[in-house]
Amino acid sequence: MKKSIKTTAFASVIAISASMAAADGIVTVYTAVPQNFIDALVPMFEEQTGTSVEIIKAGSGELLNRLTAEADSPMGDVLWSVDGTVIDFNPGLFEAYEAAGTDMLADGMKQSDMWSPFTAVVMTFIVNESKLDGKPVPDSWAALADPMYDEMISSARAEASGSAYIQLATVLQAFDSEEAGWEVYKGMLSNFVLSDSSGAVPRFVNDGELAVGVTLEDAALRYVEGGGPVQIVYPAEGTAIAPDAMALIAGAPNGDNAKAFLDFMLSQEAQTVVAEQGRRPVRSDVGSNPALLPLAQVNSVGYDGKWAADNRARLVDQWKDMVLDVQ
Amino acid sequence: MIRQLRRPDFWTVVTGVILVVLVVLLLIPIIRVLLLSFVDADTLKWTLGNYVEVFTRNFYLKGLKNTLFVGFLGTLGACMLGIPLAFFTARFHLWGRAWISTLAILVLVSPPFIGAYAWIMMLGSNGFITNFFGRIGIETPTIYGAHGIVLVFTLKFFPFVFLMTQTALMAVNKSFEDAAENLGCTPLQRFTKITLPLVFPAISTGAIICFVLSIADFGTPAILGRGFRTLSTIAFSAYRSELGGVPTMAVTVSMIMIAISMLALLAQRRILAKRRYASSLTNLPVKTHLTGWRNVAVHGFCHGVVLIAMLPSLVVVYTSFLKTNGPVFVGGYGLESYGRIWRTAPEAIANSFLFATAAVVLITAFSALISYVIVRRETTASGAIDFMMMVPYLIPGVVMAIGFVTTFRSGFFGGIGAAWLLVMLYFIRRLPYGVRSTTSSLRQVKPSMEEAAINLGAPPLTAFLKVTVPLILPGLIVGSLMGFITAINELSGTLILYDAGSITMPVSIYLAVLDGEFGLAAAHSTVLLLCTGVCVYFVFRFTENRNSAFL
Repeated sequence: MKKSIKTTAFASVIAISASMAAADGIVTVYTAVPQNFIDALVPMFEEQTGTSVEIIKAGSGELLNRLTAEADSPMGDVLWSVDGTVIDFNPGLFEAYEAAGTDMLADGMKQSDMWSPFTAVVMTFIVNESKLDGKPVPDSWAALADPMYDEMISSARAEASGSAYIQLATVLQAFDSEEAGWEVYKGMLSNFVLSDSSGAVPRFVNDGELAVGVTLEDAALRYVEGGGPVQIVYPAEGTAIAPDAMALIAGAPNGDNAKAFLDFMLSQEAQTVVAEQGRRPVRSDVGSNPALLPLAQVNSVGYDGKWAADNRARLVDQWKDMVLDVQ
Repeated sequence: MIRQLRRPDFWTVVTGVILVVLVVLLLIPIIRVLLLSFVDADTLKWTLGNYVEVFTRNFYLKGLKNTLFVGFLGTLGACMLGIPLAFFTARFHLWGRAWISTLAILVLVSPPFIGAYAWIMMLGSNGFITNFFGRIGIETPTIYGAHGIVLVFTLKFFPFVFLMTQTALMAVNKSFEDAAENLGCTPLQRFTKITLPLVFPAISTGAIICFVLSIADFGTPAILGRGFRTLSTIAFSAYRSELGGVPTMAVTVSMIMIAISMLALLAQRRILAKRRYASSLTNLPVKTHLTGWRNVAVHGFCHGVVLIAMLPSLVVVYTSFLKTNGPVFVGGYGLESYGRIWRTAPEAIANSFLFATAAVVLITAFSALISYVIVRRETTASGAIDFMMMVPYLIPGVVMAIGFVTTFRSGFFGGIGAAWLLVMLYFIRRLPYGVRSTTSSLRQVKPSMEEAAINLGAPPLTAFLKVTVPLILPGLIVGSLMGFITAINELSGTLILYDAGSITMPVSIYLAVLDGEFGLAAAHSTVLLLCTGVCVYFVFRFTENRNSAFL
């Protein structure tokens, strides 16, 4: 008797938690986006739709592993803000969806049927001039390859970080040929101090541990706006203006809410907040943050995301080999 | 005879229950993951290629060498701090013993990831200690590289050796030491020839924990390594790689780490198997008063070690009170970091305590039972349990959590909530801390006392609860405490299992570090440190008062 009461109690606890999970009005979002975007955008969405958002935040690699492990019984609805190539790489985990507002996207932002762009990421240098020991501020990818900056440049690992992979692909596209790009990148890599966390790159430059970092424009901007001793430098040969992606997870338990979430993130309202947070909006009718260099003045390499996705396995292998030689 | 058949022996039932729990929570999940290391990531066919790659490519071999290097030196350093500290606190009257023990425990709470960053704030290229010496013209080596990792491991893991050895030292039968003294041994001879061998099981257990944790530690080499790769950083980068797919290389490298740890453990067990020391806890050592310079030196050493080891945590606490603007420390002090965590912190704190406490209740109960079965019942089943008890702390949290997801998220067990999974994960991963510590204690207790109780007619459970448990209580408390502290700090597995309702403190810290928000991470860490510190202090006060009754 006593045992059956316990069993019933246990079963009802399970049932309650199960019914909560199945209740209407929630959407579970897996995301690698910096916290400031969550704080600014999620309450807006909740207020507008009445849907409550459950955020699971982790590095994009961890999220991908989670999705793979959960593939048989998906727990998440949306993957929000990762490098688009990782979605193209795992098409089985996602479901194609064209978010409302796709027609308003700026040129070059819609790159795949599998995912929608959320923001446009611009790759820049963050420089702490006082730690350069009088050396000139590097203003181009080629300058970063100069041996005088040996052990002075912070970068994430291209095999592990989506942004570092975009940086590699940008350098390979910025010169006359891929070989010429590799030549420059090899010099850069031998100057790099590699970090396992891309969030640490601007941090260490701001703290004076290293003089130069290769990072995201908005991450650098947060340190500049915070009053850190750093400046943003745009590479002279051109840089990537690349979309980061959000997608509907295949078999999402709250698919409709997930679609509403994706629609909202492409809305003019949400994109205006994106601009305030220092990322470049992806809609043609929303302007950039005035604290940043106007997009027209940023020299773009015309980043070819499709090439970067198609060649990813090969380039990462080559990168891994090169690390063994020069690091 | 018939009665015996109908009602199997109490300890046989217990052994059966333990075996079932271990098979379901430990073996099935691990085997499901282990198989991944024999799978080709591209073709999904069976292969030995992953292992061939690890043992032929220089990249992995160098990592293997580095791992062993920092693992051995870190363990050695931890022993060199932990053993003297244990001896001094166990044998001499020290001012502030509860304080020293509390700080030593708090060192173990040093929050994930942010700890290594604290070392950079002190000894990095622009660290304040580096800058201080730089201003007076002394060039100090920076913290980056193998020597920095060894230093951090030494200061981070010595409490395991300290706590294990201290507990054992307090239970050593004083007659042996008295005999040695009467036979003309100098204090040093007495220590090295009598005391040290007597507590060797405990020292080696502490050392093994240090070694296993050193080679599994990811945060320290990742942040301080600067190109110095260890297997843990290789496995973690492979696991964190964004390409998705089946993490075969990460699992394979993890398996190598597991194999190294397992070899070390087996070696320790072989050595221990040849030695058997039991004491009846009747003639316990007394503490002596030191005078003069010795007193000052011993106090200086003990307080110095724990204070230096606490430095990173102090830096973290200090950092949490710095004035910030966004991610930047703008000079001066402020509470912005706390203001920003205020909304989310209470839930994370409540979850962390709830899950860790639930896990520790299970750990305590199972530790007492398991160590009895291991030490007193020498059957095949108890041997199997003893062997399986080595497994959990050899398995990286990531591997265990992936196993949990594949085993418990679908099929027969499907529908178990994240909170339950986390409690089970903490329980199974931290169980060995309780079992190891309790087993060490139990080996020092002669079976004669329980036998007496049984001969006088007490049922096995009563004899166990009334005689054995009180005798092994110190070991049980220390083991459970270590279980609690390591459970509340668990990160790598939680990160895979947590859902929106079950975020914990370490996850909050990790996510803040990921964003480069060290102010936020420091505030979260300070809260965690404070909560745990209060618990630890009270447990120590409690045990000290209890101990003093018979010390």
